[in-house]
Amino acid sequence: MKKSLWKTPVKTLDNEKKESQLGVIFKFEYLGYLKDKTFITMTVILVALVVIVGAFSVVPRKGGAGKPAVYMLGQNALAAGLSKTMTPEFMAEQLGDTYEWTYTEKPRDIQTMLRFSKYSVAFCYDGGDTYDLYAKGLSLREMGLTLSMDKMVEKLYKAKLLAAFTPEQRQAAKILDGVVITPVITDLGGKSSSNFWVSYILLFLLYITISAHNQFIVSSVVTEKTSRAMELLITSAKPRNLMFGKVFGVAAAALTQFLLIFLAAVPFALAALKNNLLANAKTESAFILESFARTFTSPFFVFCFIMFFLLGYFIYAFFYAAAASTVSRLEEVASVAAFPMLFLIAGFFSAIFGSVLDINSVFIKVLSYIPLFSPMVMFARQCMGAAQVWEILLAIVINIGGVALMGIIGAKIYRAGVTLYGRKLKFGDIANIIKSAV
Amino acid sequence: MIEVNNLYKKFGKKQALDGLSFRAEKGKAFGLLGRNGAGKTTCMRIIMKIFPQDSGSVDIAGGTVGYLPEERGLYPKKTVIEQIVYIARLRGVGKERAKANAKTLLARLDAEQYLNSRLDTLSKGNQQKIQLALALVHNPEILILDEPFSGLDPVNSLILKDVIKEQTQIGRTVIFSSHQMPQIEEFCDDIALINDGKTVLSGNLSEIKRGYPRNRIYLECAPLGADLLQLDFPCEIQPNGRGYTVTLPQESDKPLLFSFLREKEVNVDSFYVIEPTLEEIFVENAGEDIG
Repeated sequence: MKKSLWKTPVKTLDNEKKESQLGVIFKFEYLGYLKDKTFITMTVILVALVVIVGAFSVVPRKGGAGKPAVYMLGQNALAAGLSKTMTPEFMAEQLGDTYEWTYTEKPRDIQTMLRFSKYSVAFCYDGGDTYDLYAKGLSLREMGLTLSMDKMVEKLYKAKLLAAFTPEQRQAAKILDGVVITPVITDLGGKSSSNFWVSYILLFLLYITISAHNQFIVSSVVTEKTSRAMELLITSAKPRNLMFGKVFGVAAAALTQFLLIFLAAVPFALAALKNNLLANAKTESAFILESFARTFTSPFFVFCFIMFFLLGYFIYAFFYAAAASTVSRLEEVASVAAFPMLFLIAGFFSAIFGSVLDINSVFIKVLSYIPLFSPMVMFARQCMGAAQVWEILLAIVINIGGVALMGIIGAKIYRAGVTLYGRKLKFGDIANIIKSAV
Repeated sequence: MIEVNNLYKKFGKKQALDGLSFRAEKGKAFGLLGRNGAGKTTCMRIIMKIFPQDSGSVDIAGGTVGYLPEERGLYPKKTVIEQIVYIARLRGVGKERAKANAKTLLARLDAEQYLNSRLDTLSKGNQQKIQLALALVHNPEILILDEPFSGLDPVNSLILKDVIKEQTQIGRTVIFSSHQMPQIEEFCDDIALINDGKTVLSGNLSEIKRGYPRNRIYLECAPLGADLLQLDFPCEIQPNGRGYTVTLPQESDKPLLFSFLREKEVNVDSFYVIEPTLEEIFVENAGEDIG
């Protein structure tokens, strides 16, 4: 009967408590990575970033809700009496509360005025079918502003034209204009734009975690080979325990880092759930923080996030460890890490572009079940509300199988590769190993 | 006890081991002797299961094995105590026991002061001592030492020799490889001479030497005159340090030599039979000069 991976009994020479070999390696790798300078630096920087962004998000802005913006009317607009219609309240009503509008007289040089003022945007309208918009820099979220401005100007211009019509002409214009369709859209996925941000940030976090921490696994394995420590290690421990212990140890350290980052974010997330704070702080980061806070109140979402995070991490960790075992020099680390990185990048960008373009496409759906891509793509589908519960659970099950298979194959490649010096494991050798494992 | 039977191992086109066989008995020091590239390290790595043999078998009876690799290899940025305890725990020693063993061994090897030092701050010789401590920390029944004296100064070599002797005295099997014949001669009860992956000669060292003609005598006496250098029977006399080496045609001519010396009233201070050196035995069997 095959012994369980976690219970490899090792004969003890005294009465001390029995330790499993895998447990010893896990603790050694975990503590070793926690003490690594690069890891400590990365954790400190990430926690500091979260604190800074979170603090900035919840600090209320002085003097109102939106970003300061200015609007001005040309001579023709003033002559048409639009100054009575286009009040700051009218502007807010038409364009939303992203900006706080202030009327000003049109300066000679609007660009210079804007550049040296506190205003983010300057809107200039002269009563016709066009307008001028000057901006210091429109964010992705604000680009929808121009659509609202188009509608507002269209309304104003039509009103101006209709004012010159006779009542019969106005009736005819109404008919010719057609019926205005006002659809009622119910998005079962919830707020798509906020979900996109949650999806994007969490996927990015997963991508960074996998690539950063797995680089450590790669350099650790190659360092053990180059320092010849590997020869002593494989005569003291089973190679599969060495690989799994290293992967689990680094995973635990990565989760510890995550935990610290989330603990740093908790106070700000709790503040974000309280609307009165956010009501005064309509910043991008506040919007994202609120989206996060609301999303993470769902236990199923938290479960799926943890599962996809772990499954994505482990499948790539075994991939990286196996790849690292095939080289013997630190100079070759970059080339060997590139191969799993290709899959990682493909999965990440498929998830992101799928979220932006068409999350329900057949390509994205198929990819969401293939291990190596699935943790990111299916997670993106879940965030965007495009996957049903059974699909998510099926993907998790498939990924568990994928991780197990990658672990078995990875361990065999690792065993063959770690004692090779001076020559690389050839593709033919690897193919034979995979064949024997499957 | 370790028994190696007909080991074959090929790396690409190079036949590293070509039917190697030997047996190392419990409680004895066994010397694996050969030139660089003879196959000693390959054999040891196969015994330690670092990689498998192409054919043949290795039987190990008697418990745990401690291994000192040919190349020093540990974590350069970690402290000595951390590494010894880690390796010991991998081999089943409890944490506290591992620490105690580590301290005892480092004290025995005169390396106690390096307990909390990073490995990359130590000299080659001191790193070798740490490696030896790693091999011994779990009290193995069998020790496999690959070029253990490499990088050691005479003082540390002496410490290592004492440690090896202690191990054999308490009944442990020690296999060590070297291409330095004097070290093997000093320690080993049994030896195997390897050349091109084959066993050229193996067995008890004393018996091997006794198997060779014992027709060379070293004489320490007053300088021999010219007439005495010409003897009635053919032999070769060569000055050798403070005395002479007399090579007789056959072993049974020894009484004739002593009769002749008594007759000529040569005052002999000391004499002994010169046994063949390992190098001479190896050269004779392998047919090549070694360094």
